[in-house]
Order: sequence, then C-alpha cells, then structure tokens
Amino acid sequence: MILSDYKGANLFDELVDSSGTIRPYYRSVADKLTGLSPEELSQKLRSLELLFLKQGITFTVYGDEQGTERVFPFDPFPRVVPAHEWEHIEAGLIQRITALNLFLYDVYHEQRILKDGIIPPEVVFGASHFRPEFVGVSVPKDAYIHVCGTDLIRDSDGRYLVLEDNGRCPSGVSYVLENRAAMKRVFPQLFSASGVRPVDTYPSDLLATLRHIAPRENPNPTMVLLTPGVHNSAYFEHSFLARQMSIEIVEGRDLIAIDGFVYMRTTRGLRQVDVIYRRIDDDFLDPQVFRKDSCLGVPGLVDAVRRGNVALANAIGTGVADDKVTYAYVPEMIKYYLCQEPILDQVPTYLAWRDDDKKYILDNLPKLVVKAANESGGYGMLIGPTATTAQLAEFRQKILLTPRNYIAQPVVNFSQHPTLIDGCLEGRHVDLRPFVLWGDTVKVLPGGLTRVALKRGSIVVNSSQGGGSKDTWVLAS
Amino acid sequence: MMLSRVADHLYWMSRQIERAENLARLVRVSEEMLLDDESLGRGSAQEYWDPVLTATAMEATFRSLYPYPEQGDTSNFLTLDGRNPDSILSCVRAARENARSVRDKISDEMWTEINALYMLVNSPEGALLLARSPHSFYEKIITSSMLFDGITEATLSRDEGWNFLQLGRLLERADMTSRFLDIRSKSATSSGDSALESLQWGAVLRACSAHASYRRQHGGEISVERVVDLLLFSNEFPRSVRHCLRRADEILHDISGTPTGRYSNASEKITGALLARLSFAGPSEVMARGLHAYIDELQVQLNSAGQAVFESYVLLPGEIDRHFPRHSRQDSLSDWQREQQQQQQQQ
Amino acid sequence: MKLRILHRTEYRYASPIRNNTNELRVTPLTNHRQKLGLHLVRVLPAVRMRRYPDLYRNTVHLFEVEEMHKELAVDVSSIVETFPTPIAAIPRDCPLSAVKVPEIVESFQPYLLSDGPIRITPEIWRAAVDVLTEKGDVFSVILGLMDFIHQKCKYVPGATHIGTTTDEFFAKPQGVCQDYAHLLIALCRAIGIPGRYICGYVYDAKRGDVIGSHASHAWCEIWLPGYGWLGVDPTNKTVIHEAYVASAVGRDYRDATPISGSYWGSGDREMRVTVHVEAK
Repeated sequence: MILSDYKGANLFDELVDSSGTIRPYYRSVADKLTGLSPEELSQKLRSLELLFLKQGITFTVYGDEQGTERVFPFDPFPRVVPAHEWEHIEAGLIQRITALNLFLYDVYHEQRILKDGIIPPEVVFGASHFRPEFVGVSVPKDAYIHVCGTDLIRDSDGRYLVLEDNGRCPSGVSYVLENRAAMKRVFPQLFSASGVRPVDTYPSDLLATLRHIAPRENPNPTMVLLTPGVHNSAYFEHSFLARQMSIEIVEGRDLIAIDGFVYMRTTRGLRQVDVIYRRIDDDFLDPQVFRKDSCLGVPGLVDAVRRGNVALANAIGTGVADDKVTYAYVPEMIKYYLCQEPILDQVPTYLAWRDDDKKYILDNLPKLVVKAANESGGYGMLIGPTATTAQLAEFRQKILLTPRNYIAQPVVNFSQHPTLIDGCLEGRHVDLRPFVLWGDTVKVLPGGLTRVALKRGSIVVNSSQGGGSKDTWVLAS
Repeated sequence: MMLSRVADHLYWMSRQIERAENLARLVRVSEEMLLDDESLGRGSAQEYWDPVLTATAMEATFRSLYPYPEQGDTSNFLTLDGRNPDSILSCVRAARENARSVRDKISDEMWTEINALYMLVNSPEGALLLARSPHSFYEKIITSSMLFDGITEATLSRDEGWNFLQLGRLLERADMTSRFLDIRSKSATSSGDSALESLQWGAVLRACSAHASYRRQHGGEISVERVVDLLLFSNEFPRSVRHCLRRADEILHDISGTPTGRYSNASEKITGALLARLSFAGPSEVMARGLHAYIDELQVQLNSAGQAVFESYVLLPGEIDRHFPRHSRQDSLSDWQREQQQQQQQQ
Repeated sequence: MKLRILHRTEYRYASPIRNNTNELRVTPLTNHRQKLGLHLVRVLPAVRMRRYPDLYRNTVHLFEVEEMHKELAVDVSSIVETFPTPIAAIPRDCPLSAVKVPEIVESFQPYLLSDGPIRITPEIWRAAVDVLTEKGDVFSVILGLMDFIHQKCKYVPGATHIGTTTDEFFAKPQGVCQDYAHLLIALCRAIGIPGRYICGYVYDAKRGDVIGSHASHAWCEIWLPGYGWLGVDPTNKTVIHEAYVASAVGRDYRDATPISGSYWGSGDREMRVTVHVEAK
C-alpha cells in the first residue's frame, strides 16, 4: 500500500494535518500498513471478507423482497483516536447521557424544565415518541436510557460535534467487537505495541447494566434479549449479544404476560423473566397499549412494566430524547440540570416549527441538510447541495405541511479518513458512534463504530445506503 | 431447559431437510421410471405423476398453478418452484430460516452445510445442474441432507436440542416412507402385471434406499407384502415407519424423563399407541384393510403426534391453564402461528 | 494519580415533604495538588441546578425541590488528578515565632479563633503547650500534636454527633475523622498556628488500610510559613498525599458540610451515603 499519493483535503483529515504530515498517533499503524506488499494486502483482505461471510456478519436490506443479507463492507485502515481526544469525548458523552436521563425523568414526572420555560412544551408533547401514558410511572433506578449510541462527526477544525443521540435501540456495537476480532486475526502485527484499548468487556458490562435494573434488587434475575425476529436488519447483532451475554434471545411469541408478570415459554414450562433488553421499538412492544396490529410484542407487557415486575432497557418513551427537535435543546438541558456548559458541541439546528427558522430553511434549502424529526438511519433526509429540483420541491412541501416534523442543519464537512478503494487509499467521510452504558456507573466503550461513506463525496454512512465500517482504536496513552 | 420456540425451530429445521431429501428421492426415482416407461411406450407422463402429487398432498396446489400441465412441469413444481410451499426449494428455504433463528444453538458446520444446500437449490448454478443432470442434482440434495445428519451427529451436544432435532427428522421420515408406499397403493390391488408391479415396487424400495436391505432379507423377488413388511414393520431398517416411531418414542421419553412404557403427555401417548399398533400387526392385516386406507389412518395419527409435540412443548396450554386458570388463551395458537412479517427500522 | 470518586447520598422521608432546599459542597477543588476533570452533580427528582462560589472559594451547588416528594438522591461523580505532596519542600526548621507575625495573625484571623465546634479550652491549650516545649520547629510540632491525638483518641463511629465540640471530644476521646480534625485544628490554633478544616475523599489502595475511605473524609490544613497550607490527616496520622482529594475548605465543619439544607415537613428521615474512590 502506498501512502505517498494520499492527499488530505480542505476539510479535516484524520491521518494527515494541513501540511500533509502524518499525525504522530497514526505513524505506527501507517508504517505497518504501508509495509505490506500489494499481494499480502489483497490476500489479507480476501481472508477478512471470508471471515465475515462465514460468520454471517450480515445485515438485511429493507425493501428487498428476498430479505437479502449483505456483508457490511469493512475497511482495514483503522481509525485512531489518541487518549486526550478520547478523554474529551468520554467526558462529553457522560455529561450528555446524564442530562438526557434527567430530562427524561423530568418530562415523565414534574416537567419542571417545561414549566420553567427552558424548553417549549410543544417540543415534548409534539414528539411522536413521547409517551404520555408513562407520565408519573416510576422506572427502576430512575434511569431511562441504559444503552446510548451517540453519533459524532468532526468539522473542518477537527472539533467533535454530536450529530444525534440514539437513545432507543442503538445498534452497531456487534460490528465494533467483530471488527476488532477480525483485525486481530488478520492483521496481528498491527497491534503489537500499539497500546489499543480493548473493547471486549462490552458484553459483560452490558449484562451488569441489565442486572442493575432487576426488580426488587434480585441478585439473580432472569434476563432476556427481545428481538423482532430473524428478519430484522440487526438480527445478527441481537443474537451475537445474547450469545456473548449467555442470555436467551426471545421473540414476542416466546413471552407471555399473565397477571402482571412476564414469563417465557420453555420446554420445561413457564419461567419468569425479570429484565428485558429489548431491541424492538416502543410501538411494537405491546399491542394492548401501542400499535394494535403489532404481533412482535407481548400483550400485557406494559402492564407488567408499570407494576414494576419486569424492567425494560431502554425504558419506554426514551424516543422523546433523541427526537431531532429535542436535540436542539440538549445544551439547555445540560445547563439546566447540571449547571454546566456542554463539553461536546453540536451542529446548529433550525427548527421548522419556529416561524423565523422555517423562513430561513425555506430560503436556504439548497444549502441545508433537512431531516425528519422522528426518523433515523438516514431515511427521510434531504441533502440540499446534491438534491434535485424535484426533491427540493418535495421537501419544501413537506416542511410547509408538517413543520414540527422537520429540522435543518448547515452542511457540516465530515472529516475524511484514508480508505482502501480498489487497492488505493482515498479519503472518505467518516463518523463515529461510541456506545455508553448507564448502570451503577456510566461506562463508555473505548472505541465505537466508525462508519465510512464508501461513495466519493457522500456523507451518508448508513449501512443500508452504501456505508462501510472501520475498526476504531482508542489509544491508552 | 430451552425456549419452546427454539425447540420448535430445531424440530422443523430437521423435518424440512428430511422432507426435502425425501422429495428428492421421490422425484429422482420417478423421473428414472418415467424414462423407462416412456421408452416402453406406456401411459402418459401425467398419469404417472398424479399418484405422486396425491400421495404428497400437493395435487390441488399443482392444479391451480398449472391448469394445463406440460412435460417437466411436475418435476419443476416439486423441485424449484418457490410458489409451491412444499417444493424442495421451499423446504430448504424454510429449513434455513429455522436454522437462522437458532443459529447459535447449532454448530457452525451444521449452519455451513445448510447454507450450502440452500445455495444449491437457490442459485443459477443449481438450476443449470438440474437442467443438465437431474440425477446428480437430486443426488446432491440427498447427500447434503445425509451429510447434515452426520454433521449433527458429530458436532451437536446430546441435549434437549438434539432430541428435538431427531424427533423432527424421525417423524418426517416415518411420514414420507408411508407416502412412498401410498403412491403405489393403487397398483397393490389393481394391477395384474407382475413385471410392472415388480418394477414399481422396486422403485419404491430404491427411493427409500431399501433395495439392499430387502434383498438381504427377502431375496430378489419383489412382492407388495414384503415391501410393506420392510417399510412399515421392520424393526431394523432405519427408514421403516416402525423403526422411526420407536426411536421417536425413546426420544420423547428422554425429553420428559418419563420411563418407557408410561406417558406424561399427549405426544408420548400418541406415539406409544401408534408403536403398539405397529408392533402387533403385520402386512397381512394391512393388505386386508387395504394399503391406502391403512396408510391414511397412519398419517392422521402421525399428524396428531406432531401436533401433540407442538402442544406439549411449545404452546404449553396445559401449563398455562394449570397455573393461571383465569388467563384466557383464546387465540394464543393463532398468535403463535401468525407470520412475523412486521419489521421495524432500527436506528 | 487519577481518581474516580462516586459520592451518593439518598434520603427517604417518612412522610412527603416540600420546599427542600439544599446546598452541596462536593466539588473537588482545583489547586496545585489536584485538578478536577469530569464532574457531574445529579439530583433526583430532576430539578434546576444553580452554582456559585462561596467565601472560601468552594463551589456550591444549590437546588430546591418545591413539590411534595418522599425521596431525594444526590449523585456526585468526579474524576480528579492528584499530584504528590512535595515533602522535600516542607521546611523543617521553621520556628514558631514565624507564625506569630502580625501579617499572618491578621490575614488568618478566622483560622485562629476559638469558635463554633472548635473550642480552645485550658486543657487543650495545656496539651498543645506540652507538645510544643518538646519540639522545636512548626512542622515537628504538627507531627507531635498528631502523635498526641493518635495516642489519646480512639476511632469509634457513632460515639459523637455532627455538633460535637472539641472540648467534649477531648473529655471523652472517642469519635470520627471530623472530631479528630477539629481537635488538631484547636490544638494548633491554641498555640497560634492557623488551622482550617478540609472535607474530601481518600483512596484506600490496599483496601482496609485507610480510615475514612467509605464515606466523605475530613482532615485539616495547617499554615506553615515558607510552605503554605500543609494538609495533614490526624485520623490516619499522616501528611496527606496523592490519595487525598479535597472538596471543601472552611473554618470548621460548618463551612465545609457536603450537604446541608432545609425542608418543610415532619417525620423521620433516613439517609444513606455511599462513597467509592477508585484509581482510574
């Protein structure tokens, strides 16, 4: 692999600084990678791909009738995060999840932040994932988001910015673990003396997080992972995590709620369940309460949750915190509940439901990124600069019809990272999704999912839309 | 202890692989015979295929998909037609779906083999092979299924999961062996042509890989009674209905921990009764009753055995009623069986 | 050394209360021997948090829960980097006369008084003077006083209460770190050495060696001319080191109370405090 041809760009490059010099913390891995002959490299890439295929590390693409499974493309050039940068990220993420959990507690109890006029009530009440049914309901340890995946990007100055919080069922952590395992197998020499912090404690940390919320402090709770089923795009991850934690992976039909308790059906009869790590959205949890047509859920589950007989991670109703309109107010939450300034900055956000902002958005549509407030995964998004006239018109119409549903942000130049494209290194945009666990203590997995947009110039990194991933190395010092 | 659904998936996974294998056996041997028949200028192809469709209970589906059947339609319908929910392709696909749901409960080698089988029936290469050399295509399916069985034998712990896997395979095998007999049940009474009879029953034996066992036991001469004796009543031949049921009965007792001879649930009761019937009867009773009628009854009972396994270990209605009499379970069965089509977008 | 501190206080009120106002002094200081990193103060029920620096430059968090409630939890997490105490820089030959200069007496007035829980009785003065005559320099006197306390007093949780004064403790020398710290301050002040009260945390690397690691800890700082405030922990009879993290400073306990507050309501109150200090 040849590095000499690699060029930075007029945006932040992870590998080289503005003068084209390799950043010191990348030198070791860059040297080792460039020391490989093209034959060695392509042979290693082949074995990587085989490894992923064989292990079935795949995701399902929606809209494809056959439910095609694809391997998540993997790029072997790891992203390196030096210790001091990570310390900053870690502190920012802990601050953020703390504020979000306080916010959730507040909006589901006294709603002081609304009464004090910090956040307009319509932001909360208008969020489609707000669950008024849960106002006044206590949740174990007063915690709502137990697992959070926060998407970060870097602007042209290299500042980390929060792009969005995923506080419902964030996925991707299995790729973090599998990417690392694969890299260690195929490129063991890259790791020697590199001081990369390990990521493999995640499953046991997640298990401790789940045990922490067991009803009545039961020290030996029965915990399960609830999946929508084998056709879900993240099924691989669900089964991976369940296996790693040695807990049962269950579907809705495996569970039955009777008189306020939840049981799973086993060949030895019914067995009571205490904690459910659910990877299924609120809407589908319980057809008696939420979507009546859902057959993924468990009738009576919500009642059992209310009675405190079973704990859910994440709690019901966290979607109001990762709503894209709410996002605009997270810095206010941090100031209100913690009396601190946000450690991590975020992207300036225009809210279409505010008249001034709406006017600005409509006037500057071709320069902005417009997102639907309640969508994720890169769906329902308009990227102004590359949009067609028809798309612009379509979004203009949508914004006028339902302004609460849309926000807009200036186009932020994601940082770029060298990525192997047809045997050559080219800069491609990357983001970073670290994972935070909120248990007895808050733990941030030292690493995260670095997603890379494989199409030149694209900033859409979602796996469903042509994204790939990289191993993320957080250095110990 | 394992999840009821996992037991169900394992049971169906092996059942569907076994079914695919038996369909392959059936189509392979039928096509060969058809070639013979055609060269002899006897009958029409469709007359030949009809009993096969009847015995496998696919006649109605076939008629609706192929109102004017042409040559090759039947074997295609039975093999690679995804619209036929019971075709080899559909069986393998369903088996793989079941395997995928219990991916972490089976060995990597089992998963790899089931994937290889899926690739064979669901790829252009597979279709090409079928067109060029049907015989090798079916042979590959049969080998793959047997390989899967062997891999299971060699790589899976002998726990409850293994038991359910065996149970599925054995009940399916018993069912399919009885269907093989049923295909020729008409000729067992109507035909006077002994050469043809011998040819046709020989094919049944071949389909069941029972030729060698038959010859060893009965010599070269093929008669209906003896074929029925081997395929229904043999205690030794591994594809005979009796043998399969005896093994299934042992496994059911192994699962529940109940001593043999007693029963603790409906599934044990039904297989026990069925096994007793087969132990105290022989080909003469069958011929007296009429082969087709006898097999019809047998299949009803095999079905109820399968249903009872589902109720005892998956649906748990007894358990739920016993512990929670107030709980209504009006449609837990339909809940269970509803397809899980709903997908939601994950973040 | 990098320390992670978790300090959790939970209150359970027997009957609902309201207008629960609290001041927290739980924020580790940043000075030459410690640097505060991530620091979060989380209160449940979730309320608006305010913050101000007090007279002693302690960071005070202030909040009020107005509505009726039966439970209150205060969770403080901090990451602090500590540096070693420069033992070599401690002057070993500083005469007592050096603290008796007018500038020091004036600027350290509050830290020389017999006031509040710190009561300088003739018995306490007598004991201090006895130690003083044996030793020459201020540092040796401080060590001598610590020795004296250590021999005289016994660490007995529950023997004293929050308002126990030094004379009470001196008469019946059984108590906890707060009493030890008050007494050392009283002894120092008795002979004219400024002393102040420190509230904070201590890390027990060997698990079981250090008294006070399972709750918030208290020790004192004594003014040493030519050096500055020197932290000493009479409970563990040591000059403080990297394992110590100070979170509040004041004349005595009253200025440095971790949580103090008031509320409307009656009935019993149950309090549970847990402190975890671990090396990061």
